[in-house]
Amino acid sequence: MKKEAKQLTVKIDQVKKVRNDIFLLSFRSAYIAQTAKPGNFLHLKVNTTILRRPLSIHRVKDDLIYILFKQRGRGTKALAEKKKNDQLDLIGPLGNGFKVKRRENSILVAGGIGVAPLLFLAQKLAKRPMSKVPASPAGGQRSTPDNIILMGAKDKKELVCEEEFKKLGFQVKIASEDGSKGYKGFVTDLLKKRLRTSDFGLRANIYACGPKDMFDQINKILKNYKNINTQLSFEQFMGCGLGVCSACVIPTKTGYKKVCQDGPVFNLKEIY
Amino acid sequence: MDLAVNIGKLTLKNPIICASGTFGFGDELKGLVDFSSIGAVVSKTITLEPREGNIPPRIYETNCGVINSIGLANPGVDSFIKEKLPALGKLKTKHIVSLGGSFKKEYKQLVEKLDKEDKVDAFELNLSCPNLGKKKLISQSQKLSSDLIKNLRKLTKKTLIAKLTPEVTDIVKIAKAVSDAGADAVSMVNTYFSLAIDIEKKKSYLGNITGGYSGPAIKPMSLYRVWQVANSVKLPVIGGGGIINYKDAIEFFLAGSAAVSLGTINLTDPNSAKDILKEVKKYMKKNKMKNLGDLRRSFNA
Ligand SMILES: Cc1cc2nc3c(=O)[nH]c(=O)nc-3n(C[C@H](O)[C@H](O)[C@H](O)COP(=O)(O)OP(=O)(O)OC[C@H]3O[C@@H](n4cnc5c(N)ncnc54)[C@H](O)[C@@H]3O)c2cc1C
Ligand SMILES: Cc1cc2nc3c(=O)[nH]c(=O)nc-3n(C[C@H](O)[C@H](O)[C@H](O)COP(=O)(O)O)c2cc1C
Ligand code: FES
Repeated sequence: MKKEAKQLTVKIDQVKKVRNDIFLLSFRSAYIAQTAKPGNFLHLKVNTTILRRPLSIHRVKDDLIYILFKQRGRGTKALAEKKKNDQLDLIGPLGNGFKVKRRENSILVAGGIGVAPLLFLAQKLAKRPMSKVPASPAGGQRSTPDNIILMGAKDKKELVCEEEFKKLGFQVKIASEDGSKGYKGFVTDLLKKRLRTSDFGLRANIYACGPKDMFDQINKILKNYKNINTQLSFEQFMGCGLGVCSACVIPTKTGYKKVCQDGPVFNLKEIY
Repeated sequence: MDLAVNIGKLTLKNPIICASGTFGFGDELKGLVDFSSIGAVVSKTITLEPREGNIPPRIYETNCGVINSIGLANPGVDSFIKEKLPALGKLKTKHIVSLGGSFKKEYKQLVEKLDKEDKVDAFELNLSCPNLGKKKLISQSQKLSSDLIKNLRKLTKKTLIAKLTPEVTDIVKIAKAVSDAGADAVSMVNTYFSLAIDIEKKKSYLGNITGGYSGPAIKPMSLYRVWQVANSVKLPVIGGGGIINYKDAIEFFLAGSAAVSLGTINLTDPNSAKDILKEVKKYMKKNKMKNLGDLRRSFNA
């Protein structure tokens, strides 16, 4: 089905606390389920704020849509306080989304709550059909491409969804800045190691979501691996979310681009 | 019930106008919005040359308002004519094109380029954008405003609307000056100068440092200025600044507006014009008002 954003009123199925300040909200919408692509976001109306708040589609199961969010300010607080059967006004699906590469291996890189859109992406990546993967220069073999996610956060409280990725057949590698879980350090250190020590990465696509600093690091690392296709999902403060107000721009090599319409996903080469 | 309203030569089927900068250049929202219930759409302000706009972040929400510093990002008039205009005639609303610039010459060239276009129903002269880094806005000076409008008046028969800044000592003087110079209407208000600081980073939330304030926070100040002007000039006043529901809109009519403009609320609810129109009609019916004149005149301060 062709994607066209609609304004919908949905009924909340559940709001669940996952960790201290991380919540999982779900609702039913057949339209979103059928039209959404990984990386798309929804613009949610919150009664306590003037502007809507953009949140990524975290997961789709039949016609249940999940949103995973961190409580930051007024808007996300009000969302966290929603109850079953409360109504929610949303516009979506919005944004361009990730280009899901059919054949190659994938490396997902999540920084903190940036993990949110990557689970929906992982769902799609896991479903890719068997295909010919050039395993060695000598010849190809038929197999499903391999998937791995590198997850990083400040501490273990911020690390969520490990099991969900494992269920989808993903290898999961974890880094925490304080060492409370997995490797002590940055998630980008894991990426650097991965690329240095195996040739897996050289045939992979990278998909990343997290803070801008993380993208800067990824860019530095990839200077030595120019052929790895890398997609980054950006954030910016938004007005309309629909491409009409020009509030949400970020600088790219070809001038300012709108995160809500040209993005949120940009190829690394468009930015750096 | 008659909701039609005349703004200069232009007749709108209803008095709800979507304000510049919050509705794109024309048909971008056609999948989501019912244009048949909008009196007119004012385009994003167009300039002679394309403009990239200000350094992001460009928008910040306060407790009860929104600060923006878009900086007139727009593709320039030639691209507007080629890429945006052709689609406009198909929508069931009127199109007011907002023009901006720093110099008289720019406005002159813009009007010359657009005057012959049938799909342009009127011009709104943005004399009040706070995001251009200029020391003074055109509508902060009676003389600059008056000279500019006199000049443009000679170039076009289309309706000319002057959009004013609220940031002046006496807005009535400015409104009188543009009225005497030949404008057909005034549109007010544009945003108020503002600033918000992130106390952790000790930096402004906006890349441009300052921005223009809009939304519910500015309503009482805007309403006051509309009331002042409506009581002292004969021109129709397009009133707005902070309208988010029909009650706000009714207040602006009672204060003397011929039509009302919706800005920030469009960012949240692109169909707000439709909702507000429906409720305004209900209110008028309940109060046995036959037209907008009845509504305006019912204010007994
Ligand atoms: C396309 C897109 C998808 C997103 N997806 C998710 C998601 O799936 N899960 C999730 O938890 N968050 C996501 N975000 C971020 C989310 O939109 C913000 O956290 C939210 O808008 C904050 O609203 P608030 O009212 O709670 O906070 P506010 O009171 O508005 O702000 C609180 C703090 O949060 C920061 N903030 C506010 N808005 C943003 C923003 N757009 N980007 C970065 N920082 C912001 C500000 O610096 C501020 O200090 C996404 C953002 C974008 C642009
Ligand atoms: C994001 C944004 C962009 C705007 N851009 C323009 C513009 O290009 N030209 C203009 O005349 N006014 C512009 N405005 C001002 C609005 O048209 C309106 O006058 C103002 O916001 C006050 O009304 P409101 O409180 O209903 O928003 C802009 C406002 C916002 C919020
Ligand atoms: S938020 Fe309005 S253009 Fe992106």
